[in-house]
Amino acid sequence: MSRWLRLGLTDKLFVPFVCILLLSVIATAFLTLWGQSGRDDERIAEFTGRIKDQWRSTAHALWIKGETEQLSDIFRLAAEMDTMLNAVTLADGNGQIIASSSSDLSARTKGLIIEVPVAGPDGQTGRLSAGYALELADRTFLDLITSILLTGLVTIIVGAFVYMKVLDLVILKRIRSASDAATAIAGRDLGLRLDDRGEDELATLAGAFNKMTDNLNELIGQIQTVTGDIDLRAAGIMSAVESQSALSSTQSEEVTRISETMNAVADQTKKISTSAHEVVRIADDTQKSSDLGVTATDEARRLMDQIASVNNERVEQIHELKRRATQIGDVMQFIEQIADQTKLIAFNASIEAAGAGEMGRRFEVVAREIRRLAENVSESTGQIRTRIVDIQQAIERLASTSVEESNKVRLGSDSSLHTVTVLHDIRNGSTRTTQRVQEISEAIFTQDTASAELVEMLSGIDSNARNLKQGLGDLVVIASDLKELSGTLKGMSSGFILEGRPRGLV
Amino acid sequence: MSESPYRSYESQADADLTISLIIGSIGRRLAAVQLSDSRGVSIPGKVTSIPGAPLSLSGLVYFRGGIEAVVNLAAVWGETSVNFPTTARSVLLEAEGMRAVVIFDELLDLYDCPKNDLRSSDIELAGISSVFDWRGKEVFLLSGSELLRYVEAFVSLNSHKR
Repeated sequence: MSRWLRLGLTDKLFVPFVCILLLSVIATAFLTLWGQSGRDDERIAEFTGRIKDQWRSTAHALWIKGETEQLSDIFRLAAEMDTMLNAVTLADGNGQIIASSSSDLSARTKGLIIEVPVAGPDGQTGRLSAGYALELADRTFLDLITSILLTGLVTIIVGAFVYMKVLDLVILKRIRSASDAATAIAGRDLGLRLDDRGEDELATLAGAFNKMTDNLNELIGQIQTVTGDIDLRAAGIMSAVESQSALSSTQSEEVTRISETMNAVADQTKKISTSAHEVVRIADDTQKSSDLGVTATDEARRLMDQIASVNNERVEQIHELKRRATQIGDVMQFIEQIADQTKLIAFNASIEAAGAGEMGRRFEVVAREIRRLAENVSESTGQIRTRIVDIQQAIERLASTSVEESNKVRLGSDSSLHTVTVLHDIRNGSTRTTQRVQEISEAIFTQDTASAELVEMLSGIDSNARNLKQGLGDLVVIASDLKELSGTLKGMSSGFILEGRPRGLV
Repeated sequence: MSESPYRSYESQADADLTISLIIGSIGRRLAAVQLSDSRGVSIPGKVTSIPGAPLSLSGLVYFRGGIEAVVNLAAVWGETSVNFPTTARSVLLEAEGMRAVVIFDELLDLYDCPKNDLRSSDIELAGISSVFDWRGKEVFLLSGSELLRYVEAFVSLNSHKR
């Protein structure tokens, strides 16, 4: 079977053809020979029967009579008259030739030999042998040709029928399968496959067909996938285009606003230019004022230094006053101690006076006065101490204030020095300001020119944005068409039955 | 000790009489002792505590060449004892042959108090005989004999032990 599968289509057609042809020839020959043979035997049998009877009666009659010579003449005459008869011989039971048409004994053995037993005289039994040439066959040649033709015609018809069956089995059935598959593909059924086993041309064709179907299947699948992608991309393009359109609108509005802003900037630039000139004038005034300020600040610093010197002297005096007050406080404490001692003594004096009775009454009066004096002193010293404390606190505050004033004066002096430095910086700054303002004026001029160019460029951008918006509108239409085409293609490709639902071999 | 001012207050004839008092402060209260009971005023020296002594006795102090017992009036009155301030003064009292020192936080005045101003105290305080008003404030008049009983009881107790 595998050997058969490996054969080519020509071989598959040629081999049955040759086989059938050979079978036809063989069958024709066999049938012809078989038919011819039957007829020859029948004819020979008929001829032999007829000849046997003739020769048996003739030979019997003459042999009985002993007329062997005559019989030989008859034999010769018969041989001469019958071209097919080669020789006739009659022999007795011993094989002894009694009569013969020819002296050549070999002649009687050629061709068809008919042997007939003949009863002879005296109960003898002889055997007559007649040899006929093959002229009998020559006489049936036409029959043979006719037989061959008829037999050949029959075998050819049968062979053609068998060959047609083989042809149908080998080729036509597969072609019908291919036709069915092609019809299925025409009906968008890509699930069918042809039997591509073998190595003949139809197997190759089936393989190519299957390959084509696979490719078509894959192609349709890819078309469906790509269609989906195209659908998505078209939707994305539409979305992007709409976003871009919105952005273009926004951009156009922004450009318009920027143009308006640039115009406003141009107006502001003119104002800045005007202000710059004013700034130059102010800077000049500032420079002059700074010079005056430096002079005034130097004078103020000199005066503050004098104030600081005076204040320092005053602080020294205050400290001296504080020391004096402290000394007074010490003296007052001493006086207070004395008053306290006096009071103590006065108490004791009163006690002693009381102890002395009437004698000490006058002394007690003195003691009471002394104690009262001591109390007054103590009270006065207390008040003085309070005042001294107030004075000391006032001196402390004054000293603190003086120190603060000194510090402030010093800070003022330092500030004046710093002010002078600042005024110098202001003066230098004014000079630099003048230079910078002049540079600003030049830059403003340049900016004004650039702003005009920018406004012109923005106008171009606005025009481009509007054109872009128009183009995006066209692109939206194209994307919509693309999506519609994608839908159409999707609908077309969706009608195919793909490999996902295989139908098997046909 | 002279006559008790409280007793002299019972007769109307004596009511017009005055008594000389030394007024001082002890803690948050004002107190006074009779001038006639006083033997001297001094700056208080170091008080040496007496082991086993009652709280009413602060200890012993050197006073004018002698050793005297110090009555702790703050402890007697249930007040918290604090250190003496610099204005503190000790007053030596003597009655019925017994001597004791009372330490005032400060001596304020030597006052001749009319006996009619003396009255009984509304509150119970040990060692006082009467109260009177001085400059709008209530002053407790100490009884020398009452105060010296603390010293006498302590001395008797120690003598009995010996």
